[in-house]
Amino acid sequence: MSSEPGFSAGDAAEAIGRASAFTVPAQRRAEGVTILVWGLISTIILLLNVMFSDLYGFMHRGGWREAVAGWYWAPLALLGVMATIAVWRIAEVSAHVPAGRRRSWKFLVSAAVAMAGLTVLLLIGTPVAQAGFAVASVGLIWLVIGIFDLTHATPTGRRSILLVGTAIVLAGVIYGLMIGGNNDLGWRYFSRVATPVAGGVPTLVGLWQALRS
Amino acid sequence: MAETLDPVIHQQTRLQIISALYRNGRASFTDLRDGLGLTAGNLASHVGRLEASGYVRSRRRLSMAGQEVHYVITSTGVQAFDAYTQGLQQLIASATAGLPRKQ
Repeated sequence: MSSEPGFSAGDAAEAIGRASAFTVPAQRRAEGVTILVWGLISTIILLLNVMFSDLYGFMHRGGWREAVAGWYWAPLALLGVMATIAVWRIAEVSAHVPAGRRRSWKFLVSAAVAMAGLTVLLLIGTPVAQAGFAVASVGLIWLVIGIFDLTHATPTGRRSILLVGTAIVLAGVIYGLMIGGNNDLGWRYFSRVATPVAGGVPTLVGLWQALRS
Repeated sequence: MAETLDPVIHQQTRLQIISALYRNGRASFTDLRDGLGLTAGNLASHVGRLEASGYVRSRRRLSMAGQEVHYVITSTGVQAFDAYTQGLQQLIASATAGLPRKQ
């Protein structure tokens, strides 16, 4: 198994060129960082929710405060979209993906789907166990992205997205069943349940994938 | 030409494997097999040669897909690949030296 006779410098250059298309580990790391980013963004949103509602009652003072409290997540979500695109641009540039084949824009589609899902939930309201449904809806967004493969993820990335979605949906359903129809009780403990589940699970899964790939 | 280039690297499959690892740092057995279009046996034998030369080391890791063998390029492997590509460039440069250039 020594060097191949007749294997020329041109053949060698061609082999190196073919191997340059192998970028799966880099893609996987970028996916892990993306999941991690959204886990952190979700955690910040949920912690701010605690600050606005539980600590200061900011949301219940009406007027502009209510409007701010209703949309405070939007700039954070935008930050998540920008961070996602930045991570993917870095991954694609370092992998020498030609401009026409870059897929970072597909995260915009996923983000738009997620935003649309949240807006629909805000407009139609939630069923009886509101707080449990709210937690589960975050997981549903992850599941939609994973099931329809909106990010064209690697198999590992898709598994991570589906794992995150399933864990959050299950936690939301269990929480919804536990609180039954008691919405006051449900919202009182909402942040304590939602933060580790909707923020902590993707943070840990993303960290795991980024470090282990 | 082969005498001037590292014979461990100067082989199509091994060159692809070490190029992929040089670019990515590390990769799993499955990813290398699928990404480079190799059979499991072919990959195992060639990566074994790279490992025996100290260019690559393997480790078993727990990942999202379960227990997997991952290959990591060593600093010796990085140096060997750098030397190989430099040698390749010199060979191409010497082969094309003196050729008329198109304007």
